[in-house]
Amino acid sequence: MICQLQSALPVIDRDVADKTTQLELKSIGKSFPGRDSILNNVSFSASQGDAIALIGGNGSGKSTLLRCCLRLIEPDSGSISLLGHDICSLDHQSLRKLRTRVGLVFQRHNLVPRLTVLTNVIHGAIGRTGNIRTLRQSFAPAVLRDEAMFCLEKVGLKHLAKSRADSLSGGESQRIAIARALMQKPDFMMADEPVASLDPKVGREIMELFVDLTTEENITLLFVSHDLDHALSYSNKLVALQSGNVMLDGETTSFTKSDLNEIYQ
Amino acid sequence: MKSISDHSLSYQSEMPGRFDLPPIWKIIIYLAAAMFFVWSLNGSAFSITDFFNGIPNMFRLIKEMTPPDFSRISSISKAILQTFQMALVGATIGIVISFFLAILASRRNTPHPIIYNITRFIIAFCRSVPDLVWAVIFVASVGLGAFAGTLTIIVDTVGFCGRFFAEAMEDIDHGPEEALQTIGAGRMAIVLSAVVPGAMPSFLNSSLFALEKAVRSSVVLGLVGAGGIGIELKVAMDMFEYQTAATIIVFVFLLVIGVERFSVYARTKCM
Repeated sequence: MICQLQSALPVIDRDVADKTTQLELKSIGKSFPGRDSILNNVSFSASQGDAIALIGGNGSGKSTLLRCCLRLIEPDSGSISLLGHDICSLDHQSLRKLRTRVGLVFQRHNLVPRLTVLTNVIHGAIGRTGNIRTLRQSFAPAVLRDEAMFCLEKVGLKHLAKSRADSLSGGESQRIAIARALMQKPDFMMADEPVASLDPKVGREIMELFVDLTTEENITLLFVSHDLDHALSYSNKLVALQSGNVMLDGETTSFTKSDLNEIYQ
Repeated sequence: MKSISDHSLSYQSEMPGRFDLPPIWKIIIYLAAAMFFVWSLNGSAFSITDFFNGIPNMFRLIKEMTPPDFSRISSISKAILQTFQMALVGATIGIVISFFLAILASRRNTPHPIIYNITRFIIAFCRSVPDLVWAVIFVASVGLGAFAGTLTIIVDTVGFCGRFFAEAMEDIDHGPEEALQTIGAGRMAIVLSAVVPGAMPSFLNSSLFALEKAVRSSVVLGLVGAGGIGIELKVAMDMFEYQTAATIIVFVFLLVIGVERFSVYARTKCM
């Protein structure tokens, strides 16, 4: 069954030659008060165009690690180089500027309810343009409105531009969240369990969309997933965490599903 | 294996008691509170006898009020319109001021803890002083009339809406905020793009309650000379013109009920 499923999924074909390192984590450590250490000495790297799956059981530190990569959570130790910048040493303004180049899609889409789909997508340009007119689609410059419609077309939901974000289904909302991330014109995309709350069919569609879009634009993708089939099918590199430690790190083709299952034992 | 309907099950030794005796300090506090309440009944001159003795006077007053006298309907209409205008303008300006103060008074959005504490203090101060006291202060400051009443309603609305707006901004789902933060949006952009739309249902709800409250306040502010229908009611009662007073009460009732019905309708349409 799993084999059938995998054969139906697209094979990731990313050119691995001559690529620059876009993300490099060295000995990242993180702990929270009153809890055991969440991340211990975590190191791995991602090159341009890579699609990296980050897997691990609940509480293994995946989401914390993803947030550390954008300094939404401050790591306690180690260094993180993202798009050529040591993010731990960046000041507030420089960090904001760097974040504009990284699209992050959450497990819950985190769209702004009560606002239209088009406004939500245009919000993707808030950081890179710094234009106050991006707060609402009604005031947005024509060029940004066009770009947002293009992003909506990319995710197949152009017809929902006028709908309210809180009237959409889970799958549609996640597609809009991807369109918002595309609107950033990102060099790097991250996704924190983007299909965890979706049914298997919609989940596959969303993952295929992710991979197609990032492959097309040669954008590096780092995604967290509990779905081992997704991890094996949609990545060319795989990192597995267990209790905050890196247990597996390498080319996806070098791992079997039983290797990955051991992480969850 | 036993089934759930097996009545031979026995958990007597592990079963928690139906009622737990509270600790002695709690019993003392409950008793002290009950004794204070009984003492307060005496302090508030609460008397069932006086209440029943007063019932015939109430009926006499009602009899003297009927039928209402509509001969002064023109001046009463003008006063009731002014009452509503005071409430509308005062509540609207108060809501706008509250919006900006609430941003500074919400822990997540304030630019600095000192600003947070100052704005919280301003809002608490506006709320803790009763509206009739504000009316007396404004009458002494800007003179008798509707402007003093309008200023009173502004301050009263700031005290009410400022608190609820700030709490609404703190209680919303913070996911969209985090999403915009990762996009690289600045704090003000996040507030305007994610926080305000998220808190908008609460804003509308509080604003409509503020309007209802302002209408009720504006009726009584006239009693201390701060404009509106209150002064007409006071004069009518002082001059023993109970039939005219009845007309004013009918108008006040219609105004308050009208605003409440509009408020309910607007809430169902906007939420």
